[in-house]
Amino acid sequence: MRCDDARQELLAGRAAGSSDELDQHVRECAGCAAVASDQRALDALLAHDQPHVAGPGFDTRFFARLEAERAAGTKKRALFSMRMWLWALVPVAAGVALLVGRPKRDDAPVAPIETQGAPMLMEALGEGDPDDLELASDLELLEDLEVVQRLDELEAFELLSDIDPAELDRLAAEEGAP
Amino acid sequence: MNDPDAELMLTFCRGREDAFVELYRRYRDRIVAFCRRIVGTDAQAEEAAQDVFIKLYRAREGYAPRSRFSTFLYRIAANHCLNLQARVEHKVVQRGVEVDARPLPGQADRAPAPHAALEQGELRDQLARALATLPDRQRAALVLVHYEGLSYEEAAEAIDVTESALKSLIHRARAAMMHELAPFMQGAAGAGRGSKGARHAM
Repeated sequence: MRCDDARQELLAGRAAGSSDELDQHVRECAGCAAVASDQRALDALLAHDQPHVAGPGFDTRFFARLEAERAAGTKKRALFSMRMWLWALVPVAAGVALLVGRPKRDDAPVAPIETQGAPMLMEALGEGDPDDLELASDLELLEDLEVVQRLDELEAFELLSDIDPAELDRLAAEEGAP
Repeated sequence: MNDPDAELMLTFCRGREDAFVELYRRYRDRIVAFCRRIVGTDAQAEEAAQDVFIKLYRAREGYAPRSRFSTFLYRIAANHCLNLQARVEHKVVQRGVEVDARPLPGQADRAPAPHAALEQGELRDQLARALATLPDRQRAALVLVHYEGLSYEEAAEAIDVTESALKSLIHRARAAMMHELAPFMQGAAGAGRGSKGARHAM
């Protein structure tokens, strides 16, 4: 064993008698023997340090803390368990909501929606169910528009019906119409 | 691995709380002593030791015996105490106070003669002071190996360093202790040698 290796071991707290190789080197090398002696002296001093012992009431305080920890753990587990149940219920609740909110197709006949006012829109929608509220609202607006337009046409027709045919011929002649 | 304490811990993991109490009884004094050598006061050390056992209690859900149980427990203790120390030092720095509120190295020179010190218990005080002057990791390494009897490998695992880094920490810690305790060393190892050998070796 080389001196460097021996001293590394000794200074790291390895006792001289801990390995045959180290022991032999220390016996043969005066320098390393001095280092070993110093280290033994340090160990002897360190041995005077008495370990601190737990003071009175240490166990009582600890077991009180442990009890609180157990109680907190139980509460936490209960909360966790409840949360897990709630999370498990989410898909069930979503399924129920879908079933309740689903438009009735087969049960009761739904009043047909007047689509004549919005043929283009109905074409765009295809044969799909207009269950969207917004869409239904749009359709209603279109229907209203259709009704108003029809009323306008009706009024115009009535105006035309009030015109005298002779007067019409005269007006046409003035305009050069055939 | 034939480790009865690890078996006890596994028994505790299976729900037997009496196994935990048995582990607590086996390790209480060692953990209290370890914490006292790392943190500042008796009260802080006892609080820290209780924290360590509470952490051990909480560790039951993820425990797997990868090393000896004692190494596992000392790892918890070392982490906890080093974190506490780091927090204390951080607070001291934030308040603008000198970080090292521990006794100055020169104070060791004013210590009484070894025999009187032994009689008065002052050597113990001086040892505690010298230990307190060490940086936290050096102190933890020295305490784990010298006082708690862990092997280099176990101590390295406990403070999360390599074995060679641990040896280096212990080497420096012992050199510093030798310097701090120089007057006592002369009494203990014979006049004139003191820490000369250590200095020569370094």
